Amino acid sequence: MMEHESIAVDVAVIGGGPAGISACLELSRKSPNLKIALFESEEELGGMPRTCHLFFGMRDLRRIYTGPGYARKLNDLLRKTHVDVYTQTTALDIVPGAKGENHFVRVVSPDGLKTYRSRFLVLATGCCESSLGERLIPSARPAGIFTTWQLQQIVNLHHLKPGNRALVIGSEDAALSTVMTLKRAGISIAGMVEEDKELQTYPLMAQGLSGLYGFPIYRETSVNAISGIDRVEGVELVGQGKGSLFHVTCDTVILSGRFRPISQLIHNTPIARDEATSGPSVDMNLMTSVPNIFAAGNVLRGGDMHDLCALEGKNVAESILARMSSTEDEGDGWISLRAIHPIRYVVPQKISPSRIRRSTFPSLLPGVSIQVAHTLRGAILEAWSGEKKIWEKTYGRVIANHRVPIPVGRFNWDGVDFEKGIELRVNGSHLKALG
Amino acid sequence: MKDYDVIVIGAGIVGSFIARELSRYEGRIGLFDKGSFPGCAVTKAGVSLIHSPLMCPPGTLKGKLCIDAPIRYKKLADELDVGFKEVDELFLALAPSQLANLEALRKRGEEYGLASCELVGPERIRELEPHVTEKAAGALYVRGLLAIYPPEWAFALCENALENGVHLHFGTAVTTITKEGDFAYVIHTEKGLFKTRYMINAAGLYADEVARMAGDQEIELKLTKGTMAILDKSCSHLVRHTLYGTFSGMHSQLITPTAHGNLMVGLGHFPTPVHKQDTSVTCDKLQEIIRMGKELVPSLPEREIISTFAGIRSENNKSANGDFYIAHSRSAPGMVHCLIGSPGLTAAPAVAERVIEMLRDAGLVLGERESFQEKRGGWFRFSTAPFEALRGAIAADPTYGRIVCRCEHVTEGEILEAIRRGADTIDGIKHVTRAGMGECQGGYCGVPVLNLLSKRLGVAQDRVTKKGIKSYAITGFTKARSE
Repeated sequence: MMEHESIAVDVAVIGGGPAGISACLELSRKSPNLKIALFESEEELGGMPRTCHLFFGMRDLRRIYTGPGYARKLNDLLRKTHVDVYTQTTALDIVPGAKGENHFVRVVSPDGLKTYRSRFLVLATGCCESSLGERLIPSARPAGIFTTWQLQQIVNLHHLKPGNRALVIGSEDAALSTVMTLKRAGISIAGMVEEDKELQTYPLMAQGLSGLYGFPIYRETSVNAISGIDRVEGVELVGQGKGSLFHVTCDTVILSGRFRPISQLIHNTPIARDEATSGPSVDMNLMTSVPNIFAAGNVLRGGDMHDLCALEGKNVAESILARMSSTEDEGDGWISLRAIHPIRYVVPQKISPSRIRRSTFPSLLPGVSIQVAHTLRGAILEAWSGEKKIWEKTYGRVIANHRVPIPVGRFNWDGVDFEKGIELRVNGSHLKALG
Repeated sequence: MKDYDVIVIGAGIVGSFIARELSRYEGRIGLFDKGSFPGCAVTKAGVSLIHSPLMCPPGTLKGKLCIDAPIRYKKLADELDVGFKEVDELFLALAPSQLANLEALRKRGEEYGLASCELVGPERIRELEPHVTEKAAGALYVRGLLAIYPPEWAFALCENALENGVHLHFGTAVTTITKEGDFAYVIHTEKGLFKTRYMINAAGLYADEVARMAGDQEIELKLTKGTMAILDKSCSHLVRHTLYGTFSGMHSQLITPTAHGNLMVGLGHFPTPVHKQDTSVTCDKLQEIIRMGKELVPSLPEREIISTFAGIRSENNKSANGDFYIAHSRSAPGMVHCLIGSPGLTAAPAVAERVIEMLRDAGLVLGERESFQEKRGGWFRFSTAPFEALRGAIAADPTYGRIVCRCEHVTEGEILEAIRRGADTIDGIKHVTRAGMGECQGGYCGVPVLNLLSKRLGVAQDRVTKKGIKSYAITGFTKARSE
C-alpha cells in the first residue's frame, strides 16, 4: 500500500540544519540529476545557528558569519539548487525497506500527510540539551528555568527577556554563548556553575568573559536545589571542596550544554542505537546498521560545532554517491570501536581496516573522533585490542565536549584482534574500572 | 450574591468526579479551586494507577471503594473520550521468605472477589518480565488494571460538568466561610461572595483549613511525600507490568508503565514535607528511588530519566489505619468531608457516588436533568488518530498538520483547541495535549506554546504563566523589541 501512495525520490534528508543542508548541497553539486527531498520541522532552514550570534562557517564555508547569517547563507546556496525543500514538515516515522529496497518516510505538514520512498535516507535531526529532569536537579518546577536553546530563541528570535538575573549551569561552549546572549538581552549574570574542577570549555575565554561581565565562576560546585514555587527565587549550591551550602539569588536558571541526539525516529526500527551517544551507531561511511540509511551531524553525538556537522553532511553525500556508483559491499572486515569511561563515546562505531590500508591519505578519510566526559589534563589516550596496546598519544589538555580526532591510520593494525574489536581508553582508566 | 445548592471546594480528581456526577441532576452547582487548572496538585503528582484493592486491608472503606474501579473508569473513558492504558500488576517477593506475604495477599484478593489474582513462580515471572531481578522468588499476578493521566481526566470531567450546567470557578481561593441562618453558608473568595446550602470539602491537603473556616475544628491531616521519576520511552520495553517490591504505609517500591507509554519509578520512603507546597525533589530521595528501582529491574537506565517530581499524600485523624473519612461534618451541618489519601485516584468514582447518596440523605432533592449529556465533545489527537481521520482533519484545518511538540507529536491545532477549551497556562496546555512531556521536556515547544498562548489569549508574552498565579514565564522585552 505504501509503495502505491508514496512519492519517489532518490535521497530523502531529514533535518535542515548544517549537516542536512550540506549533504543536500554536496549531492546536488556532484550529481545534479538526483531527486533530493529535504524535510525541516521549523518554518525556516538553518537549525541551531539561526538563534546563536557567534562565529560560524569557519571550517566549512571558510568565512566568518553570525549564526543567522550562516543559516541564511546555507539557505541561499540551497535555494539555487533543485533540491526540494519542505519546511514546516516533520518526519513522523521511518520504515526501512529490505536489503536494496526503498525506505519509507512518513511526513506531515499543513499540506497533509505524505509518504516518501527513497533508496537513500539521511538522518540529520540534530540534538537538544538535557532538561531539568535528566540532570536530576531538585526543584518544585517553577517558571524561569530555560535551556540555552530556549534562551536564544526567546532573546534572539522573539526579543523577549526571560528574567532579570540568571545563573548559568554548566561551563561547556554553550555556556559562553549563553552569557553573551544574557548580556545582549540586558540580563545580569549571577554566576556560572561547574561540577568539575576543570572548565568544560576554553578556560581563557570563560575567565575573560567572567572578568569582562563581572560574574563569578563556581567550580567544583553542584546544584543542591532550585528554590521558588511559582518563579525561580534562587539556587542552593554546594561546594564539593568545602562541602558548604550557599545560596545565590536569581529569578532565572539557564541549563546549558549536555546535548543529546534527537533520535526518536530510530526507536522501534532495526537501526542500531549506540547506548553511549543514544544516537544511531554508524560505520566509517556514516551508514547506520541498515544499508543505505545514513546519519550526520549532532544526531550522532550531541553538541558538536556546526561546521564539523556541515563537513560530516558532505561526507555522507560522498558515501551515498560512492554507493550509487559501485555495488561493491564493504560489509566485510568491519571492526568495532568502543569507548571506555572517561571517554564518553567514539564515532563512528565501526571502521574498516582494509579501507584504511588502501587509502593513500588515511587522514583524509571521514574521521574517527571521541569526546571525553570531563576535561582532562595531561592525558594519554590509548587504543587497545584485547591485551595489546595498538596506539597511544599524550595530550596536554582534552576539553570535554570538544571533538578529538583519533588517527586510526597510525594504529598498529597487525596487533588487532578482529573478534575483540578496539577499545579507546584514557591511560589507567580501565584499571580504575576494574578496581 | 450568586446562590448555589451545592458548592464543591477543590477540583482535584474527587471534586471533579463529584461535580460531574452532580451535573446529572437539576440544581445549581459550583466547583471552586484556587488553582487555574483542575487536578494539578495531589491528583497530578501520584503514581496515576487504577490499582487493585489489595493494598487496602479488608473491611476498610477505601478497600470497598476501590472494587471495580477499572470497570468504572473504562466506562467513563468512553463517555468522556479520555485515554487509559491497561496495565497488570505483579507483586514481587524478592526473597523466598516473602512468599508467605504473597499468599496472604492472594487470600485478601479472594476476599475482595478479584477475578484474576494468581501466584506465579520465577519462570512465569521471567516470561512476563524478562528484565526483572533474578531474586524474584514468586509473584502475585493481578490482571485488569489501568494507568491514566489524571489531569487529563480532571479536565474532561470538569468540561463535561460545565456542559451540563455546573459553574466552574478556577483561580478562586476560598478565604472565609460564614454562616447565614441555620442552614446556609456564604463562601468568601477574592472574586466575590457565593451562597450555598451544601458544601463538599474536597480540598485535598487544605481540607483541614476549609473545615476550620466552616467552624469544624476536628480535622487534622498528616502529610507524607513520595518521589517519582519518569524515564524516556526508549526504555519502555524493560517493564510491561506494574511491579511492586515492598510497600507499606511508610514506603513503596514500584516501577510502572504510564498512560503515555513511559516508565515511572517511585516512591521511596515517605518523609514529611516542610509545608503543603513542598513538592520539591531532593537528591537523596532521587538516589533512593533509583536504588529501589534497580533492585526490581537491575538494568534500569538512570540516565534515561527525563523528569522527576514529588507528590504529597495525606491521612486524616478521623479514621484508623490511613482509611478514608467521608462523612457529614459534625459541627458544620451541610458540609460533607471527603478526606481521602492513597489510593484516592482509584476510589474517586465510587467516592463521588457515595457523596451524592449522602447529600440525598441530608435532604437535597436531586431530580434528574433531562438534558444531561454524558458524552463529552471528542478531542482530536494527532498521535493516536487513524490515518483517514488525520487526513480529513488536516484538510479541514491545516494547523492540525503543523507539529509543535516533536517528541509527542502534538500539533498546533490541538494546542489552539486546548486554549479555546480553557487551558490558559503552559502547564495547562501540557496537561491536556502532552506538549512538552517528551524526551526534550519542552526544549523545542516551550517557546512556540508561549507565543500561541499570548496570541490567542490576547495578552502580552510577559503575562503568560507557567502554572497560574505569579509563575510568569518571561519577565519583559529586550531593548531590540522596544526600539
